[in-house]
Amino acid sequence: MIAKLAAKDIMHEWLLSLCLVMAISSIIAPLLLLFGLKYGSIQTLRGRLIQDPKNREIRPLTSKSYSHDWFKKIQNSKGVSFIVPMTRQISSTIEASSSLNNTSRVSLLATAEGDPLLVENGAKIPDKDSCVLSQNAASELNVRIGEKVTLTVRRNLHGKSEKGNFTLLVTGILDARATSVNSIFVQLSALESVEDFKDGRAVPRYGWQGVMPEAYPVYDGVIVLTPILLSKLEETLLVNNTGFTKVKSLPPSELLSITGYKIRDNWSAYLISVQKRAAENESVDAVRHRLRGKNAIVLRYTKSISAKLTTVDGLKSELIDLLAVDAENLQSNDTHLQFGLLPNLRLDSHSRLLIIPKEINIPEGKAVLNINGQSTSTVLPVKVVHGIQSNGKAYVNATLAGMLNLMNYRTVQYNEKIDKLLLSRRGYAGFRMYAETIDHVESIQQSLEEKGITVRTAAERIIEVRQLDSYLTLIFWLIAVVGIIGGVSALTASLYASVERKKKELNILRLIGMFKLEIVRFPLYQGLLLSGSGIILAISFFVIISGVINTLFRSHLSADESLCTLTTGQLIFLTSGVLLLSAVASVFAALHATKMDPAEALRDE
Amino acid sequence: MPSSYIYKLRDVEKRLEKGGVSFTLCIPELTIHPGEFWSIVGPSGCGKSTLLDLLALVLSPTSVSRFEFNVPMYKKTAPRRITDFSENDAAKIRRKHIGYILQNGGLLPFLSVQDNILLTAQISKSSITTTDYNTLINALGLPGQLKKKPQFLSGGQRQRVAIARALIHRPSIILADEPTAAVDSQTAADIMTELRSLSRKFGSAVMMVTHDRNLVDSTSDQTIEFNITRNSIDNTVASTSISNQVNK
Repeated sequence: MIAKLAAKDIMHEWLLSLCLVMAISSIIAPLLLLFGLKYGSIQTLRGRLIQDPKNREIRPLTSKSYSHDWFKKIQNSKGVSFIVPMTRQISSTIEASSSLNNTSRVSLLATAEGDPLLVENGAKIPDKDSCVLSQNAASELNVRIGEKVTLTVRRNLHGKSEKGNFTLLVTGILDARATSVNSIFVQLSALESVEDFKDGRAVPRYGWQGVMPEAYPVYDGVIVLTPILLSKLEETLLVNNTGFTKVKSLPPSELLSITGYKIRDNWSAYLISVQKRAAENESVDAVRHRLRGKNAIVLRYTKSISAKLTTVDGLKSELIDLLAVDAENLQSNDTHLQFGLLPNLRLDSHSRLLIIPKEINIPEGKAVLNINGQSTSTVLPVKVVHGIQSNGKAYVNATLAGMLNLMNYRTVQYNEKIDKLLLSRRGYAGFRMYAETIDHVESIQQSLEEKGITVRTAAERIIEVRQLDSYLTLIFWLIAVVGIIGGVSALTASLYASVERKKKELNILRLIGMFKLEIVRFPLYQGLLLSGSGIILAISFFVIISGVINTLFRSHLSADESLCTLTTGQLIFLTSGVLLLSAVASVFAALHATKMDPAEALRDE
Repeated sequence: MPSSYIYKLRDVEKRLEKGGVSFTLCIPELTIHPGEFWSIVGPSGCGKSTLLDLLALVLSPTSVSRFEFNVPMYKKTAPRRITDFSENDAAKIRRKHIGYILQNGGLLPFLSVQDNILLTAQISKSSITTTDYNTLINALGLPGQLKKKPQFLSGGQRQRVAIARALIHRPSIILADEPTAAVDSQTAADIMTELRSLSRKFGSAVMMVTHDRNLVDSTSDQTIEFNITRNSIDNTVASTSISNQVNK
């Protein structure tokens, strides 16, 4: 009822109410515009200074080998916004040429998803067939977005000069402010290819010839089967300077469970194993050498390898454990392997054959093996046959098992083009790194230098920027405070005056028996209604004018910058501030107006 | 004399001070019964309004030996001592049991005549009958004015609307503060007659403040007058006395 009365009163005096709404909005609207302009322009300025990736860059000064693990750790450490590995500086300088044969020497720089230098300078992150140019590189090569550049790598191999080419599509050109260097931003893999080529390795991706970094097998030990027991001395000889460190006698049951081999009666089995590092073929040969003439069988051994086996169509997959079968060294007419091999199957080292128990629900034929290594995973096409083993394990050739075992120490990737498991690089010589904000730069620099990595940062510039930032913030707040004080007084005065005008009506209502609480609500509702309408009007005004301002200055602003803007949070804050203030002013005025004896107040008229 | 009463006051005193000048109103004895028509007569500054404010429960007395307001409240029917009332209690009594007529009507400018009349009933949440409503607006000659806003009415019409608003919820008592001061004497006389007859019909007692003795001489049952004693330049005491019109 009070609300209805309050609304009726406002309607009755619609002209005065309208004036009040206009007055309120004319108090708020300039304030909004002022805030919007200050906030927008200072934010833009601040953003340009503080967010400029140049100020957030952290560059290594020394070349070092940084491992994959190191990158992973740094990526997740506090304050680091972006890091991408880089190859050696010397191998990243390259010759670029446009289709019109303009050529230039450029620095090849690695980039990846989230690279602030690219993102904040108006370029999309390139994919494996595209690149982003710096302004300088683009103008020197005279290329535009959508055109192509050809990059040429040269090497001197065995006294012979060779060169390799690859062509990339230009998908972006950075703003001039990003860098003054002639640079081309590409995916890390392109840099790796260039470095590989310079180092004499082959790069199948671009058809460049050279040495293949093929994966080699490593073993966790060897199984030694002998017709006679080995003496203590003989046991010791097996671990003396062979690369192995431990000898263990294996009872037949244990041998069966860890390898699937079944021993002949009266024979003895030993596991000669490594402790930390894996053993390579020469260690196996050393053991074999020590056991010469003893009629012993030496079988390469890896611990069981967990993998996922998937059908070619990808619809079915099963988890399996792989055991190494040293088919080359097993005497074929012996049944050393428990129920595993079918007599006509050759589990040789190149066949990539996988013998799985029938119970595993993958049909015979082609399948895909998925193995997780220490830091990476790879997929390997294999051929599956069903065996008759009852231990639930799958068998592969020991050499293949050894190569898969290498994944626990090195990054191994299957290369489709040459159908081989290849070793990936161990680490990188450098990196490109950006801190989240300029405030994080110092702590990152400190923690890197504690680890002996000297870096260069824009520390001095950051101090200047920070100082400027604090001045700008101060200016903003000074203006804000003055504006707010003015706005508060004007708003309070208007509403107070309007309640004073209602004094008579309020006291009549009191005299005919309204509670004070109800009486106070009358001007409270009116105040809220009036200033609410005022705010809506002011915000509409603000939206229109700020739109006009931003359009006028569009050409000086980047896409996500605006000269005049307020966040939704700020608008909500301002709105609730105005409403709260109106409520307080109205209630205060109402309490004042109804302080007197109502009859007395009316007679005073 | 009826045995029930609305107000019973004995030795009620109200002392007002303003700018070093003190004014004391003494009411030795006052009992008001339902349906009675009282006039409170005296020159300005004699304490008429103070008396009315005390009765309206908007002023509380400085000292009191007895001040009871006998109306049903909170389901209790026993007389209540005014000193027990909180501000909200007073407001509750006002909305339910007191009708107020002000010098210039005291109508809300933003409500139509009809809404103004129904306002008291709305506030007190009392149900009113169509008969009462029709009786009032017909007797006061308002049927043609119901949709108008008060600003379009004459002074006399405004007072009549105020009378209707004061009576519509059938209060026990009407407090009228110079209701005819702003209209010409003929209209004043008409309004008096209408107030007198309607209040009788609605069973409400009337306490009417006026400075015009002639206007009320013939209509009131009782008259309150003030004996003013000026003790010093800044100390005035006014004491009420009652004269029965019938006996005059």
